[in-house]
Amino acid sequence: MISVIARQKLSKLRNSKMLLIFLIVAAFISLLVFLPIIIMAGVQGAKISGAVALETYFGYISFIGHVAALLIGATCWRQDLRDGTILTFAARPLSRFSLFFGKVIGCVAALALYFVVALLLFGIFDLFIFSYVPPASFLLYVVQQFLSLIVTFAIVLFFSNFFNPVLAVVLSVVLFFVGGIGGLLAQLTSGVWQAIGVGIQAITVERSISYSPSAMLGADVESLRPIWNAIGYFLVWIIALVSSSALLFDRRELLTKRS
Amino acid sequence: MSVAAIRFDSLRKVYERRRSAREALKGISFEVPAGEIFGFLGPNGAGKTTAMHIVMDFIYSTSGSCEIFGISSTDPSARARVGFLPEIFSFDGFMRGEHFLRTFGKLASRTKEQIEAAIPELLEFLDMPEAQRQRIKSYSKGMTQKIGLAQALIGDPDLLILDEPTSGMDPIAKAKIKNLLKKLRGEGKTIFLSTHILSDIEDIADRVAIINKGEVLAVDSLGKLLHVEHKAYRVQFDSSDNQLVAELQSASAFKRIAEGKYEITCDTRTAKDQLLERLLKSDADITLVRPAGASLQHRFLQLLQHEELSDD
Repeated sequence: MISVIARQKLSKLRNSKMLLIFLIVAAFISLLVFLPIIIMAGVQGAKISGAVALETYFGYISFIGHVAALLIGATCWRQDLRDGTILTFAARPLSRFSLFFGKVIGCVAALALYFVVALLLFGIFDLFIFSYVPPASFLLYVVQQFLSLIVTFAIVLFFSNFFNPVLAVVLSVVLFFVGGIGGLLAQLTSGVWQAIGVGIQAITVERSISYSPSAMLGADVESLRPIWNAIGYFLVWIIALVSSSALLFDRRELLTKRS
Repeated sequence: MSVAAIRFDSLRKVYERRRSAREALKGISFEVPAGEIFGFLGPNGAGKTTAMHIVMDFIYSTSGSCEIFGISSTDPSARARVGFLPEIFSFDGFMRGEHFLRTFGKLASRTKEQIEAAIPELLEFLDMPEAQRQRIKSYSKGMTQKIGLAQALIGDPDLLILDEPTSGMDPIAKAKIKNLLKKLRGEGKTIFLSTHILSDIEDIADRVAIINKGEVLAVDSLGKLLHVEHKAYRVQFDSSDNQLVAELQSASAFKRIAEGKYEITCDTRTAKDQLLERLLKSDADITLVRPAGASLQHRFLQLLQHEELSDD
């Protein structure tokens, strides 16, 4: 049952062309990014340029991915409630949890699809331009980036229980910026400000990526530990936010204009 | 004794707003017997959709309970035998008819073989075989409502809950839906349908409940609900016989409806019989003989205390 709902949600998102637009934007930006790096390759060598391209490309992909996650999360079930299609699903012998998780899995699958296609796009560029093979630990970086998107999705999903999609997105962005300020404060030398910064980071689900791909070049097991910690941190937040949203959805009345 | 298809027991619903509360249902209690077409009538805003949405567990009751075939409506398994059509059915336009029905067939726990056999059969039954390959966004309003009905039927439910099923349909589509509902009743299915268009159910419902402002005003079989002490009868006829018209004009309740069309209200059965006998002897064409005040519309308006609006 959950898989049927998830597949339907994924088709809905695919047919909304939203993912396609994000991918076109990603491809366009990456082309712009690669041009100066291609020129740089002649000066510094393909390997370094490849690493820089990878880092830069994923920076943009991640940014666009966060925008996609915000939009998809804010409308995950809200849009279906608005257009009334959720009632047709809810009329089936399904629990609210099945309905909710079906929608969430469909949305996560859409984000995964975006990420995988973005990865493939980079793979093609890399193969033809830089001939750069990233280290195996790069996969950890990819997982961390993807989980970071899911955290954004989970935050806006949580807010969408209380607010309309626009407000949920705005609040999520505000949270993101406050988290960024927390990150800046945490870097200060003053103990008090540092503590405040760390506190702000904790409550705003701070999502900075632990290591950049270039830092991972030749990384040993010890230096990868913070990535594992970040992955764990992201997973804890995802589970907490998605399960609280599920509980709220379970108690929610599916009120339409006609109710 | 068979279990009722739906049972409402002192069902109450209050919509709480920040600064106000609105009581949409004021403790309604009635049963929908299995195997019948049950009309749920009421003006707009009477509480019909609220009651239906509680049955479907879309919204929660403030107090009281509701059961589907003896199972609490809050239990998802209660909906295993139910097909539901919302008032204004809409679905993702990118889906083709068959894809859409396949999705909902799976959600109704039907096997792949059952679904593949049911899709063309249902679309044929609903007189829209061409809809199978078309995208929902290209459907007309009537077709959209019918594909909604098809998704309600794909699980072969014992109970159909239809919220204003003929909403926005043209008279031909309405007539087809009525025939379809009769056919489904013939197959032993229970149909619980809400409407504010009385003519939609007058000739098909076995039983009706009339609701207004959250209160059920009457629940009975259509026959009993319309059974009143018929002291008066309305007789309508067409005639070009001036002598006959002049003779009957002396009757107290003589009314000229249009050119050559007349109506007389007889106070007693004997007066009605005498009038009919007189009309049969003349060249008059009798077009209507009906107990005055025996239409569903009259009874509905009477219960809603708007009797003055009735034509009867």
